[in-house]
Amino acid sequence: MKKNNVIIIAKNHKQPFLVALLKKIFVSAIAILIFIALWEAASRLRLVSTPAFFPPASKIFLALGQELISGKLWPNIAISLTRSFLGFFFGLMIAIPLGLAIGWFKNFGILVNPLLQVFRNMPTLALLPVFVMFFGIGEVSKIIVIMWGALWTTLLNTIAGVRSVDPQLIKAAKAMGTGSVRLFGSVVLPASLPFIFTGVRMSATFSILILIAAEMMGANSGLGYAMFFYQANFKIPQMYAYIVVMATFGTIINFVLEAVERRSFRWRDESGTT
Amino acid sequence: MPEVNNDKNAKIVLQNLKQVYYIKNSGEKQLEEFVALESFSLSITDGAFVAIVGPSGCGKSTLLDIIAGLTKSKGGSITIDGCEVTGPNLDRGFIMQGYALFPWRTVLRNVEYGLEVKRIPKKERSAIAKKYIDLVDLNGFENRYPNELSGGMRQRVAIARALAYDPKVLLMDEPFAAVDAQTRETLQDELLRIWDKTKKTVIFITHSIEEAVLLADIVVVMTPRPGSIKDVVNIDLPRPRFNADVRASADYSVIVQRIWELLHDMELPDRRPFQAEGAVKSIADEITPSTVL
Repeated sequence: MKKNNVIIIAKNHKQPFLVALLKKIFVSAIAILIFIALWEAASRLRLVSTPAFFPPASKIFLALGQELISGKLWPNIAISLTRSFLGFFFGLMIAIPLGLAIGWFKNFGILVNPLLQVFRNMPTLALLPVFVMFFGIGEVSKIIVIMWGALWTTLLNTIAGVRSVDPQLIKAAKAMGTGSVRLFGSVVLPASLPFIFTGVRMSATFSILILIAAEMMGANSGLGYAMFFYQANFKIPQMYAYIVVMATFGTIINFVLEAVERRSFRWRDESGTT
Repeated sequence: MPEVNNDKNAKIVLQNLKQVYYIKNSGEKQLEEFVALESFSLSITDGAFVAIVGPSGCGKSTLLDIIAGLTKSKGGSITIDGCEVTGPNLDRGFIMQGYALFPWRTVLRNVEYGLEVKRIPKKERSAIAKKYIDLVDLNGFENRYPNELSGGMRQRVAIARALAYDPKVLLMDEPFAAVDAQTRETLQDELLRIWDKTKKTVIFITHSIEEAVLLADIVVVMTPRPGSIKDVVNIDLPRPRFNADVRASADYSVIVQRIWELLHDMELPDRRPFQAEGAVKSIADEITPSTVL
């Protein structure tokens, strides 16, 4: 009797991985699927006064398929991802070391904080003309504006991470005679990593958002450019198709980084079960 | 006040320690001087278990931070084996109430931390760490993270971590205050066993008189602020001690009561006044259950 119970519990608990994954995907897709269905219905039933601006979802996906087959989509994706990755990467290269320094050296933080506040509150895209002036209309100014827009969340999270290290941990390490270099490397850095990573994840999302805007403002390739181009040429389903692509990319990147975050910071999980 | 003896037996000599903080009161321009610790002198023999009790805010933790080298005192000196203490060092192990384990490190890597600071090669490190994990009865938990352990287990890890680099002195700042009563008793018995095995000199700060009497050879009773020594009480209960035995003994209750009175500053006229001046006294010898009842 008891044995039976145990087996049943075990069975319930150990769902095959694939089934569990499919279930999870289905659950998270329900809302999206309903939204697409409503869109399709609303368009077909002409619930919107300007049906030309509101093509049915099926037409949008058809346009997406055509872009895929004709080979127009991939080069745009490639160039956009390259731009956003480079901007994101350089942004991190600046944000993380700077954030660690600002968080760790109090006086340095006090000194640069006012400047940071001023810079941070400048609308990123307002700076694009400035960057274009200095770096031309080519790739460099786009990468720099993405870098600028992406670095803030990582920078602020890194500062917050360093400053919120549990003083008890620092005390414990110091009591063991830990010098300041080791203290930084073995306590402050690992303790602030979860904060930094959250910032990095948000920066990744920002780098895509700013990319699109930058491409719309002056480019002859890329997802943002293509979307703008189709809008100007009144190819509305194609325009929506590119919006779908952008949204998909943002979601995938966030999803992957969230998964990495969960895996890397198992020690943070309070329940300790995963 | 006990005399400071400079004999060779003394492992730790605390001399005239003083600590002052400056507090800014609202509305006042001048900083107010706040004396946390005043003329604190004590000499501790090698292998002794010293417990320090006192009202909250009497500077117990300040004292321990000074001995650990984490804060500089505003006067006086500390010597361990004749060497003046100038800062933190691996000759003292520090154990805190909040465990302060590194949450991103497994149990094993936590215990190895001090050994890394000591620059002991990796292979030896894990062997030593395992030995101490074994000592605190955490075999099989080497690869767990602190968040997967109970409070009692975490404190064992903290003890193992402090013991692993083989300090001469263990400084414990209310180490068992955060765990439930039952776990606390278990940990006390464990600590007694470990102390018996390792023969470390221990300075143990606690709120609990019972805990102090159970564990220590000497209980130092502190005055309210500014903290200084009110009295030093020798605990002559036989060793090895266990919660179960000690709590049942009459001598134990008498000593606990005596220290309680000292802490609460009570003078009971129907009893022989306690001679606080001069040498360290053994109360267990002086006050038998019959004198109380």
